[in-house]
Formats: sequence, structure tokens, C-alpha cells
Amino acid sequence: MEFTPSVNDESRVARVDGHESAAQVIRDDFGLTGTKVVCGGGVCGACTILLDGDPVVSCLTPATRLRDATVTTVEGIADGDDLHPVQRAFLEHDGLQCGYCTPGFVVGAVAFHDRWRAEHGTTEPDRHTIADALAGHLCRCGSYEGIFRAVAAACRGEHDGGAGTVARVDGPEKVTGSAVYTTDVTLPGMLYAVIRRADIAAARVGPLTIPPGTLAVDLLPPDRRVRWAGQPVAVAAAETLDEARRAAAALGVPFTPLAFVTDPEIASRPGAPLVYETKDERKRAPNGSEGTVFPASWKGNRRGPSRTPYLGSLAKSRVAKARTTGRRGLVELEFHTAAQLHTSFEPHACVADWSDPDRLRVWMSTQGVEAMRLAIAERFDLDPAKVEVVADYVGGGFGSKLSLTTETVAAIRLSRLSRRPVKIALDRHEELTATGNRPGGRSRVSLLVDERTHGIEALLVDTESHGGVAIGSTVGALSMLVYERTPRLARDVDVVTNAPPGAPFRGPGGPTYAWALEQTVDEVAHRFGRDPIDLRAQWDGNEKRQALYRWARALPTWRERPATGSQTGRFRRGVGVAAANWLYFVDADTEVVVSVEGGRLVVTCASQDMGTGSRTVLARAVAGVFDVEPTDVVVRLGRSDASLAHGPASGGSRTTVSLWSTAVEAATAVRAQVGAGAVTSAHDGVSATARRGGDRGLRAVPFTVGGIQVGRGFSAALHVSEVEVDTRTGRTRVLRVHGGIAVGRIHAPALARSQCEGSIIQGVGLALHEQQVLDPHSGLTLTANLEDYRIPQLGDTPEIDIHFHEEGWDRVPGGGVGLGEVATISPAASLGNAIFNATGWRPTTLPVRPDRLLAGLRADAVR
Amino acid sequence: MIPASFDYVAPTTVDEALAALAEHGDDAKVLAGGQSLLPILRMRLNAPGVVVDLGRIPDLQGVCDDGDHIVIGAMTTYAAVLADDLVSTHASLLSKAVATVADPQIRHRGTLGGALVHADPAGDVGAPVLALGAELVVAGPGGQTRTVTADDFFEDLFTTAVGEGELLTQIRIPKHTGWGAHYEKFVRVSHQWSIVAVAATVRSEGGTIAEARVGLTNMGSTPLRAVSVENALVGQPATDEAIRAAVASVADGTNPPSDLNGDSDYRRHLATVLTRRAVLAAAGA
Ligand SMILES: Cc1cc2nc3c(=O)[nH]c(=O)nc-3n(C[C@H](O)[C@H](O)[C@H](O)COP(=O)(O)OP(=O)(O)OC[C@H]3O[C@@H](n4cnc5c(N)ncnc54)[C@H](O)[C@@H]3O)c2cc1C
Ligand code: FES
Ligand code: FES
Repeated sequence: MEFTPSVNDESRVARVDGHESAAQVIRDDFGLTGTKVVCGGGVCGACTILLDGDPVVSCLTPATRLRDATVTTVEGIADGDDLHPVQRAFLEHDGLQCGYCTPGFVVGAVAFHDRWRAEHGTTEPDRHTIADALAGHLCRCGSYEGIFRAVAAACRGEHDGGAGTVARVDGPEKVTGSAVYTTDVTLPGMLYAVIRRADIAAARVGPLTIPPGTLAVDLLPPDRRVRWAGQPVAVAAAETLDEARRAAAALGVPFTPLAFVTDPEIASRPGAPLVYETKDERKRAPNGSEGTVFPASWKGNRRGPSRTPYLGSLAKSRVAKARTTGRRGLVELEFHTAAQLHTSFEPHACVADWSDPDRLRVWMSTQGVEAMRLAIAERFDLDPAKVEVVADYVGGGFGSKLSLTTETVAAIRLSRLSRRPVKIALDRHEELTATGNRPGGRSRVSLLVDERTHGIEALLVDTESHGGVAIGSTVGALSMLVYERTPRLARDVDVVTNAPPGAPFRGPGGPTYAWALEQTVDEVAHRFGRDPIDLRAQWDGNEKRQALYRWARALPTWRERPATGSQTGRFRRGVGVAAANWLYFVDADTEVVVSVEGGRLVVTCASQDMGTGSRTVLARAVAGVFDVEPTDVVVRLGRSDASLAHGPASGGSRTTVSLWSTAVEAATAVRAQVGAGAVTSAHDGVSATARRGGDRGLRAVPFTVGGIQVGRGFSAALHVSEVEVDTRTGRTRVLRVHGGIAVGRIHAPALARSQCEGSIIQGVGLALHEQQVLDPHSGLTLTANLEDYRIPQLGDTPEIDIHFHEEGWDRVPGGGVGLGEVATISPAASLGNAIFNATGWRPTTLPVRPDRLLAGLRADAVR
Repeated sequence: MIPASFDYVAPTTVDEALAALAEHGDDAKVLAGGQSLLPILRMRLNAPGVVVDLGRIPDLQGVCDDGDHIVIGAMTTYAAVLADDLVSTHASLLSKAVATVADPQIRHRGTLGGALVHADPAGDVGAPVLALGAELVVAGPGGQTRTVTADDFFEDLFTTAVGEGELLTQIRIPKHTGWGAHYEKFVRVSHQWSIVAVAATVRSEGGTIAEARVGLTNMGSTPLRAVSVENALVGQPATDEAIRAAVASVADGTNPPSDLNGDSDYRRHLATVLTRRAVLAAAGA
């Protein structure tokens, strides 16, 4: 069937055979890739278009509905170069991070704005109205505060005229839909490939049967074992995605099912099916954490404990004695957490082009273009100079895109075989099953204090991490770094099961340790009638956190908090506090080049921007030296090849701290060559390179991990949260969160704030909503879509206030360290403490679902 | 995106649509807004046959006044229902429930008829349609129509009185002019399918409840009507205490599902809390 809808005021010819969605035709046939598909199920709104003026989700609109229709996509929202007021507002108020949800939000917000203005002039809509109007949109980065601000400002008419400011230098590409992500890349002659995955949790697999004429390769590990449902088994390529899907399904995969175990409790029992049987197999267990996995002994499916002691035996004996004597100063609690899924909006995706045998080009959605170039060269035994990795725009990663993952290896192998470009983009089901998670687990905390002085006498933390087939938990070890003035011991155990692997997730282990430790601290404060901030201040040797304690004490939210358990009505409000501690990292090998080309300043680095703002950081660093606008600086980022020097990965909070001072140094060198006046094309060819280098004499450990230096000293954060609990339904609403962050100098304040707001929103998700659930009978992931795996929406966003304590890091070049992870650790724990303050019942199990909360309140009432 | 290809027809009259259904029998699938159908088709690997798109049949769209009833065409979108004065004046319970369905995008495409025939137990329009005592007009092969009461319409999970080769054409709702109404929907995140919801509409006379209608969402395999609670409410003053007592047994005999959002006991508890709130609000107390 052929028809000619009007698309962005142009008549387009669509040829459909009746089965495509509108999204498919818009992206693939019209080439309008601004429209994104994230969930494919009407939940996230990323694919929103205007159909005859009304916002609809194009993924659930049959393409046939475009017949005679007038369609506006994000590319058609601006009038030429003249942006719509909503787009200008998104730029100024930074209503975006990675930008993958942005086209959908922009289209939805334009529909709302235009109607609102027609009916209400320049009256400002309240938060509730905006949240309702944009209820059909989700943002995993958590840019909701910026979106509220942007929509309200546009409706007030503040962006009707004029250019406005641009908080994020790559914002214009993101709000107009012209930013090209890996999922948007199409090359001539490109094949599509689909991964065949195991639909059982454990099996031995015989040789693959590939039907004649099918291009496919095996993806099993050497032992040909399936260890979790969703594990890649093989991959098939074809001319179209549909054909590839059918080809993957048609591969003959002889599974011999084996006994499996997904429940860590059962996995710990003697005689349970073993996930790894031999030493060799165990060695290949993936690392669910960041950094080095230190050796530990195995017993069945249990690995460890790995001990992190300081006067550990003393701590143990003190606690043991306190237990036998029943000392009041001993508080012991057990906590449970659920696996949280990264849910990056851009799925893992790769386009590999090895059609020229001497040159491998790989577009991939990655957090580390340079690291991936080297990893690919190593994996395929290539000279790194022959490999190029491109990630112009990355739609979020949160830790799940730091390593060389299956889709990339598979696409490269298929491209090598076919000598054609090959594309693999995971769908949402795969993304929510197979790309990692923040492992759930169990923690027992024993905290002993002196009954009179409340000084700490001992701290024991025993953790069990449930990372599926992955290992490497450091949850307990991280708890040892906070309140240092006491004998203490952590014992970390990994329990492996036939469940999908855990992977590093923003502050790996951080929110998990804080959920347990910071609630136990709160319990001690409650038991002895102490102010929880004062008690922490008494124990805490970290000066930056001391500054945050002073800030928090003065907050009206804190000062006016109710006494715990003092309320009786249906709705009860509570305020909680929790502290965070994190390490800081530097990529000492980072090099940044600043040059003048065509009379413009250009800054280049083999790094990438996954929404955290690296582009803007580089632009601001250079702009500051030359006293120009950041948007005047050309930033070349998102590419790694032999001509470019080393750039840092976006992970481990190391990007900004590695880039900023290096860019300033290179820019200063160029400034010296150019002289005082304006930069013009007369200066073309001037260039300088700077290298970050380590923070000498400041290392905590005398070695670097993959070029990553662990800095001395800890970054700090503090969250003060206010909730309202409906004691009849068990539902918790988060009203307000104050986040205090002590990472030194903030180089791009709007973006830093947005990162911290996003951390809080992810913390709300962790605390109240998010939970990966497996079917115990099959090991299949039940929460593999955005309807069953719930992330917070605009309407779940509390009012957020971010405070930066900028002092204390002067010895670090640039005066500040990374914030992406430290900001993410204490929000959930502060919510747990707030719920306790409101109700007198302590939630120990994540997520605090309404039914659990209600059951807890009732059990407490009976007691 | 949608794996298997299918044929597509877009009739412009109900008769043509019925003829297409008769011709293709089992193979045919009716397409309304597609907001439930498309996700289902996407999951299928085998060919779904012929899709009969009702989107170009003007007779199935819009709301009209028919004496003591209002008549809503099956293909009227949620957005159109929400904007319609006849609905808000004479069946405000339906307007209030529709306002809680999903989000603006889904409401612009999803239709009242599609939702009713899809009959998801967590869907928000079944309970108000039931509580308002609506009649549903079903057209069958050859064009003859029959009228089914809402009580008889919902048969089971995803199953209604609309049989193969039949179409739902109209929803006829007796006017409840001047009745107070409230739809109390409980969700975990701010917008979601109902975990439990309660539809209540009440006619008050001088502070006393003269008549009441109560429907329950997601408390069983179909929407339920709480007749005993309706009866218990008659003659009660619109006070918290009186209503609390009258609705206390609302969950008796229900068999709600257990899932990731809570078990059936929790849902029974919620039904009681939400019914109280819904009736109180509907009674303007
Ligand atoms: C993300 C998302 C969130 C949602 N949230 C909610 C929610 O909170 N509350 C809620 O109530 N619903 C919700 N829905 C469902 C929504 O209401 C659907 O649109 C509705 O259930 C189906 O309406 P439709 O017009 O799209 O029907 P379709 O999807 O086109 O059809 C549904 C079924 O009915 C049949 N059918 C349709 N019309 C007729 C007819 N006239 N005669 C005979 N058979 C017919 C079709 O063959 C199909 O089997 C949600 C949907 C999505 C995608
Ligand atoms: S992709 Fe269409 S709504 Fe998510
Ligand atoms: S900016 Fe919204 S998903 Fe990344």
C-alpha cells in the first residue's frame, strides 16, 4: 500500500505492507531518526509524534494510520533555525541529560504548551498539571526537575523570543532530534543481526545447526554451558530486522536442560545445583563490580568471605560479648535489597563495519570509546591503529556500557564473515534481562556503641551479594570506609545462582551498603534519643561531611521534623537523613588537545558524553581561558582512533576530574601562543596538548588500576528527605529531598545539579519501586518491560534542592573530584530513615512497596 | 517491529466491516486504537491474518443524546469522551474514570469500545460502565444488532459477550444527571494500570444518600458491581462514619489477583479503603 502523508510540512511517500508501526516507517523509511523507540509498548513516550496535531505514541500507531494524516516529528517542531519556545526552554533550564528521551518530551511538551497558552495565556501551570500532561514520558537519567522548570518557563512565555542561553553545548542537537546515536546509524549495504538467547536457566548445548544460506555464529563460552535464562547462544544476520529475527529463531540449538537454582538461599544449601563446577569455570565468572576481583575461596555456590578488617578480631569479640551480656548499646539489623536494572534508554547497540579488511570501524553505545578500541584490538588480535570506535551520542549507560559486551563482539564477527556492515541493537526485553543489574543481597549490621558516650566500639558487616552468575561484591568493604574510628570487620560473600549477571551500576555497592549501614546508625540514634546528624558528626572524621552536617542542621525541613512515631493520623510525614562516602579516581593518562581551526577554538579528546556533560565540561574549560561562550568552542568527542591520544571512560566518577584541568592547561598553552586578542583564522594551526598526570603524593594505594589512580581522601554527600506515608494504603510519597554534595569545585553547575537530581530520582526508584523479578520455575525475567519494571515518573519526583560544598579539594588540579557516584549512594537510605521517622516502622527490605509497608505497620501494631 | 505481515482493510461502514469479518472468519482481527492490539500482535510469531481497521467508520464515533440515555460510539477515543459535555453532565463517573487512563498519548488513540472489548480486568472503564448500568449494542453478521446489559457483557478475563464476527458499536448509558461521582484509583507510581480502583456515583437528597452505584476494578477476572454496598448506602447520611460502616463488606466474596503489586488480601483491604474514599467524594462529603 502506498500513500503520501504530510510529514513536517513535506509530502512523503510511504510504502507499507500493513504491518509496520508508524515509528518504524518514520525512522527507517523517512530517515527521521529523532523519533526514538525505547519500550515499543506505549509506556515511555520516546516515540511521541503529533498526529493531526495530537500527541500519540508512534510505536503503537499502525503505519496505515498515517494515510491522509499530518505528522509532526521532533525534526519538524522548530521553524527552520528558529526553535520552538519549548525547545529554547529545555536548553536554558537543562531539561535533559543523555537526550534519548528528549525528542519525545519535546513533542509532548509542545502539544501541552501550545494548548495551555491558547487557553491560559502566560499563567504558569503547577507541577501537578505538568506531571499529568507529560505522564506518558519517562526519563531514566532523571532530568525531571529541569523538565518541570523548562515547561513552566515556556508556559510563562519567557522563551517566546530571543535565543536564550544553552546550559549544555550539545543540547541543540538533542532538542531538535539531529543528534545521532548508535541506534540511528545506518550504513549502505548494512545487515541486521539478532541474538538468539537461552530460554532456560541451565543447559549443556550441542553443536549449532545453521540452515544453509544463513549467516550466523555461535556465542557460547568454550564449555558450551548456559548458566542463565537470556544468555546469548548464537547470532544470525539478514537483510532486514524481521528476517534476522526469523533466522535467529530458525537456528538449531540442541539444549540439554540441567538442574538450576535461582534462589540464593537454596543455592547455599549443600547439594544445590552448582553454577560453576570447576576452578576454570569459576575463573571466568563475570565481575559484577568495578575494579579488581581479589581471589577468594569457594564453597559450592558461595564465594568468600572476603574480609576487610581493622582490628577485626577485637570488633568480633566485642560484639560477641555484647550479645551474651545483652548490652543495650548493640544494635543488630538485617537488610534485604532487590536487583535494580540500569534501564539505559538507548539500548546496547553496535554497528560494525569490517568491509575493508584493513580497517575496522565500530559505532557502539559505550561509556569508553578509547577503552573499547583497545579491548576490540585485543579481542580480535588486531593492531589498535586499525580500529576506530565512534559514539557521538550515548543514551545513558550508568555503568552497564563500560565493557566489551556481546552485541559488539557478535556484530564484529558477523561483519568479518560477511564483509558488510552489521547492526545489532537490543530490544527492551533484552536490555532489561541481559545487560546487567545492581545485585540485590542481604546485609547484617552489628553496631556497638558505648551506652553513655555513644562512641562507637565495634562495627561488623556481613553481606551476601546475589549477582546471579557474577561475583565481586564489595558492599561490606565499602561500609568500612565511613566511620573509621572503630574496630571493624566486613565479610563479603557472593552467592552465585542461575540468574542474569550483575554489572557495575553507578556507585557499585554504594546504595546497597548505605541502605543497611545508614539505617543502622539511625536506629542507634533513635535508641539513645540522639539527633541522627549529631551522632554522625560525633563519629565522623571526614571534614567535608562535617560541613554538610552543619548545612543540614540548618535546613527547615530538618529542624521541623517530627518526633519518631509521634503521629497518629492517616497521612504521616517523616524526615530522614543519610550520609554517603565514596572514593575518587583519576585517569592519569588523559590527554586533551586544544587547537585553532578555521578561526575557531577546537578541543579534542578520545572520550565520550553519555549525558553526564563531558562535552560541556571541555567547552567551558576552554571558554573560560579565552573568555568566550562555551558554545563558541567546537568540541570533538565520541571517537577514538590511532590519531587521538588517550581519553577517559565515563565511569568511576573520573571523567570530569580527568578532563577539566587538562583542558584548561592545553587551552592556556594555546592562549600563550595566540596572545591576548581574539582568536581568528590567522591563528589556524596553533595547537597544544596537555596530559593530566596523577595527583602525585596523594595516592591512597601505590598502584593504578588500568591507568586509573585511586585518589587519597573520600568525597562525601548527605541527603535529607521528607516523605508522606498513607498508612491506610501503604503508599509513600517523597515530598522533598535536599542533597548536599562535597566534591570540591563544580565546573558546570547546571549540569552538576542535574546529575545530582537524577541520582535522587534513581534513589527514589530503588527505595520504592524498582525490583527485577525472576520466575522461579524457569529463571526467566518477569520484569522485562517498562510496565512491570517501574521507574519513577515526573509525578513521582520530589522537590529537590542541591547544595554544593566546594571547599577542601584544592590539592587536586581543578579543585574538584567526580560526583556521579557519591551523589547516588544515600538517597534511598535517607528515605528508609524518613519512613521510620514517619511511622515508627523501619523498612529493611527494598523496594518499600505499599503492601510491604502496610504489612509492616500492622505487624508493629500487633506487637 | 510487528513481526508477521498481515493484510489490512479499512471499511467505511459497519456493514462493510461485518462483511469483512464474515469473509475472513477466524483470521480476522478488529483494530480500534491499537493500544492493546499492537503489543499483542508484536508478540506473535505466526501471521495474524487480516486486520479490519474500524478507524474510518464515522458512524462509530462521537457521543449523542438519546432521551434518557447518552449514546457513545465504540470508536470514540478516550480524549473525545473526556472532552464531551454530554458525558460529563450525564455520566460524570465515566469522565472521571477516563481521566485516569494511562496518559494523554494513549488517550488520544485508545477507544472506549476497544477497551471494553479488550476487557483487561485492570482497565478503568469497565467498572464505571457497569456501575452506570450501561447497555452495549453488538452488531453481528448480516447487520442485526442485539443489546447486552453491562451485567452480562463481561464474561471473564479478556472475554466479553462480543463473539467472533461481531462488533461492539455503541455504549448506551442511562443519564445520571446531577449525581455526584468519583473514581478512586490506586497506583504505586504516579501513572499506571490500576492495582485496585473503585467507581462510585451517588444521588444525594439533603445530605442523605438516596441512590448509589459502586463498581470495582481489578478485584476479580471482570469488573464487579458491589450491589450489597449500594443497598447499604441508601438512606445513610453522607458522613465518614456512616459510609465506613456501609462499605465495610465491599470485598467479601471477591477473588482478586495476586501479583508483583500485592497479594489478594492486600487488594481486599485496598478495596475497602478506596470504596470509602470514593463514596465520600461522590457524596460531596
Ligand atoms: C502504556 C499503556 C498504558 C495503559 N494504561 C491503561 C490504564 O491505566 N487504564 C486502562 O483502562 N487502560 C490502559 N491502557 C489500555 C488502553 O486503554 C487501551 O487503549 C484499550 O484497552 C484498548 O483500546 P483500543 O481502542 O486501543 O483497542 P485495540 O487495541 O485496537 O483493540 C483491543 C481489542 O478489542 C478488539 N476490538 C476493539 N474494538 C472493537 C469493537 N468495536 N468491536 C469488537 N472488537 C473490538 C480488538 O480486536 C482487540 O482484541 C494502557 C495501554 C498502554 C499501551
Ligand atoms: S517507544 Fe513508544 S512509547 Fe516507548
Ligand atoms: S535524558 Fe532522559 S533518558 Fe537520558
